[in-house]
Amino acid sequence: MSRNRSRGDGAAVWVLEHLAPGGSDPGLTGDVLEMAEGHSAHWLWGQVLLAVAAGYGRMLRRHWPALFFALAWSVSAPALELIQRQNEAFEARLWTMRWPWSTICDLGYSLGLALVFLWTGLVICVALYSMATWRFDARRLWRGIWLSVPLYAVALAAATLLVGLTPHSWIDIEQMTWVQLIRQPVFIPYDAACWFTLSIAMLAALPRGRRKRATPASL
Amino acid sequence: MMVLLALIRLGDEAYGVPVARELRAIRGREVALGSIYAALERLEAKGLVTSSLGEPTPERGGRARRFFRVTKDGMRQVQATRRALTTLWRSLPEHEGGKA
Repeated sequence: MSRNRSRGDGAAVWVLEHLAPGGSDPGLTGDVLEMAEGHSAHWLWGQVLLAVAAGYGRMLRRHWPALFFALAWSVSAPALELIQRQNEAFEARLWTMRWPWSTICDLGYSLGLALVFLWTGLVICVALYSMATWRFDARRLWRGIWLSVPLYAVALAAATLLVGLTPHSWIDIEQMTWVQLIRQPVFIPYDAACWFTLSIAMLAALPRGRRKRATPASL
Repeated sequence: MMVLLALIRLGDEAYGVPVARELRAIRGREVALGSIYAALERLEAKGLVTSSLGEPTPERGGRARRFFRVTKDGMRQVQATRRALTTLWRSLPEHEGGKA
């Protein structure tokens, strides 16, 4: 095996072990490496990408209720505007601060409100899952909560950029009910940002499935 | 079903690589290891297959082999499918020059 091929193999193994959801089975990684002998780097990458895709397929089949819950939860995200509207006096006080603190505090307030909304959805989903399966992993829940912070910051920035670049008519949200807010197409990128973050955080937070142990009677 | 049959044929030496070779021989084309593991995981979740990790080996980059075995439930499932398929084949009409 050439030096370049070895380097390529290392990258392929890294992709398999880190990008496959839940990490790759050591048996699968070993099998791919064993079969790669005598095959091209192209073959190896094909196997790795198919294994990662199969992993995501398994994940979707296993966790579709959680992903559906995340979608339903995210659709109601624009209703947060109503909470912000009720606290206008508080926001007005933030804007009396000196720049840049006024902007930083207002952004922090909006982001914090959205994160509390996301975490509430995450905790409800994990609680429902734990009640249904009698499995709970506090460390994974914390991991999901922490992961949601940078993910949402990036997703929100992307959504804001997308809304800013897309031509849309001006809407007055002041007089809208929460149902009207949810129906506004302009909020779709924000809903998508919320769904993306919540889905990834949920997959990171839900307890891992266990391999079914065979009993002596079943063998 | 093909994966279960391959496991039965391979016996105690059934892990990903020989299963992939067996399936390639049966189907006549390459089968992705990831797809085989996805099928095996589903069978394991149903209790038709069980698995255990062997010892790590240097030629596999220090990764262990995961050996798979068909459980009693798995064997029963294979026999039931075989009976159903045999009944179906027998019920097919015969054509001239051989069976359908």
